[in-house]
Amino acid sequence: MVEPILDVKDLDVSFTFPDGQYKAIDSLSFTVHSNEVVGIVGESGCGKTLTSLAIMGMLPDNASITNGSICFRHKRHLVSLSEKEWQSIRGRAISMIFQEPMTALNPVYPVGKQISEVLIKHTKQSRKAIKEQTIQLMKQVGLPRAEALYHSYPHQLSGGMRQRIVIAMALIGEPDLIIADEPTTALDVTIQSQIIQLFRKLKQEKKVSMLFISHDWGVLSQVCDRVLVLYAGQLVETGPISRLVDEPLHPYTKGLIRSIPDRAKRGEPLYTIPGRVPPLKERHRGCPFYDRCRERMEICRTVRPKTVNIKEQMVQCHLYTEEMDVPSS
Amino acid sequence: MMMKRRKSIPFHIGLTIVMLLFLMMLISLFYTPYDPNMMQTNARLAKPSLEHLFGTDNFGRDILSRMMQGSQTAFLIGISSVSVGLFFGFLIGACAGYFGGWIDELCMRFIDALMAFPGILLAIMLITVFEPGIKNTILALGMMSVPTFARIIRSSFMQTKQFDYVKASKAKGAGSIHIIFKHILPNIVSPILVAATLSFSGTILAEAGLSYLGLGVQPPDPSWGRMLKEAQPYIATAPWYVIITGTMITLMVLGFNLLGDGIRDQQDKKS
Repeated sequence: MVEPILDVKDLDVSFTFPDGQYKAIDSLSFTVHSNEVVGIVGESGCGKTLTSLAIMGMLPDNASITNGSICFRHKRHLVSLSEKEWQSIRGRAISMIFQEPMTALNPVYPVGKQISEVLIKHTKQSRKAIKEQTIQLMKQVGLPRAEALYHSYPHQLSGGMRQRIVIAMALIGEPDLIIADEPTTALDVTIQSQIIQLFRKLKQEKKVSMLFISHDWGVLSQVCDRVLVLYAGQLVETGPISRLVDEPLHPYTKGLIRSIPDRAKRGEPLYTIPGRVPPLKERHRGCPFYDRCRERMEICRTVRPKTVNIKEQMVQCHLYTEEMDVPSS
Repeated sequence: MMMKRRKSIPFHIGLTIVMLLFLMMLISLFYTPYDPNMMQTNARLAKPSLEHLFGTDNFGRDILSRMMQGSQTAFLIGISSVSVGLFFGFLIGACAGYFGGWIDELCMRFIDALMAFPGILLAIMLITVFEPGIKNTILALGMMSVPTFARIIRSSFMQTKQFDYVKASKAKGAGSIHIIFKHILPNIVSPILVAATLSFSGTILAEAGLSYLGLGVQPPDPSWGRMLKEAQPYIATAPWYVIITGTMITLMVLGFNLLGDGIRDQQDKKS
């Protein structure tokens, strides 16, 4: 098997508050392989963004990695890097696409300059070569009149164009891994589908590997190979996107899938998972989904379920055991 | 999306006053009607006339000429002490706002200590310990404005630091110095400009006050504050001396205040 680009093992991220430490991400393990797009899905507050910030080494001041390892290709352990080493990795080896194209660009600089900033920082090419390369990439991400746009300011561009600029900004350093934090959420539906097409194209042509955070199953199913379902900082289920959509195992995944609006469900009230994600300070030792689960058992309250492999899927739930072949329901 | 920018009336009045005073200062570099220090004992405390537009003082020196040369000192002290204040204020404010945590605590407690003394008292203390003169006046007045600048810059930094483009720049591999100067500073120029303009008038007033007390600019360098002091004994016999000197100081302060307010109004309109 090929060596993964990113290998996260038993990762714990904790917030330190005056009254103690609270785990926001709890023994999270996953891998991203070359040319693979891995989605992360879950409700707000499940630790999706925190995971990406941990990989970028950009955790907030009061959060820290308390256990586990993040191993980047060539066996580089990201957890113990100094700020200086981080700076050589960010933008070049791992880059990030931000959610809001409106705020992710600095209003006082032309957009071309902002894209080429990465190359100026990380390479020793001449300014002219950098500019040419930038314009080339701007064309590749589907920006018309790239030469003219190079000198435009963010406020002169539309939302879709800005998001393409932000994507170009993440691609220019030819990183091994791109983390996209809900890159289509702030866009309207038509622009969203164009951007999704762009991601698919990039995956085919540029062979990029991505960690794609979203809560939109429609978007995920179009770009991702595999999906991680996070709940309250724990990985509750993972598997190929098609398996997860067709045959979700974990009650939480089932709930998420059920709550997608669908033409067939017309007229019925939209399904929602009752309750909310337990706040950081109210998480207990059993299954994190216990309070909201429709299929809960007594054991779920006190014992944390083990991770079980079922075909290509992995699920963390007491409903399943290793011997089981096909889920009952 | 071109927005029509209407400048407020105070902005225009302020700009005109400041420009006129600046022009006067520029002319005085090359030309004054009389030598500012030439004494004419036969024309002491002369009333304003065609010969001496603003009259003469108790030594028979032309007030207009002295006024013009005094504007050099006013601008020199204003610009230099604002620069000194801005430099140290930026250093402290930027570190505090950008890094946060214990660095912030340390910087802000230092600023608090500085603020605990009334500014003018601090300046008087500095000047008494060292010696009066233009250089020390500039330093003292600069120190006086450090807390204001530091606080404004700190809060601007804390606000701007939250924006995604600062995080994005960090995600591109940029270092702190690059982020501070290339990404945050250009975005907070306008609040700094407003603070600097408003602080300019405060500095001029403080300089006049110090010179009035004899602690600021020393003779023979001309200063408006000292002229006001010199005019005081003749307030009954030669009221124009006091009135003209006082009016000049007032105009300068008013001009910069209006300008600062005008810039701020415009900035508020934009956002």
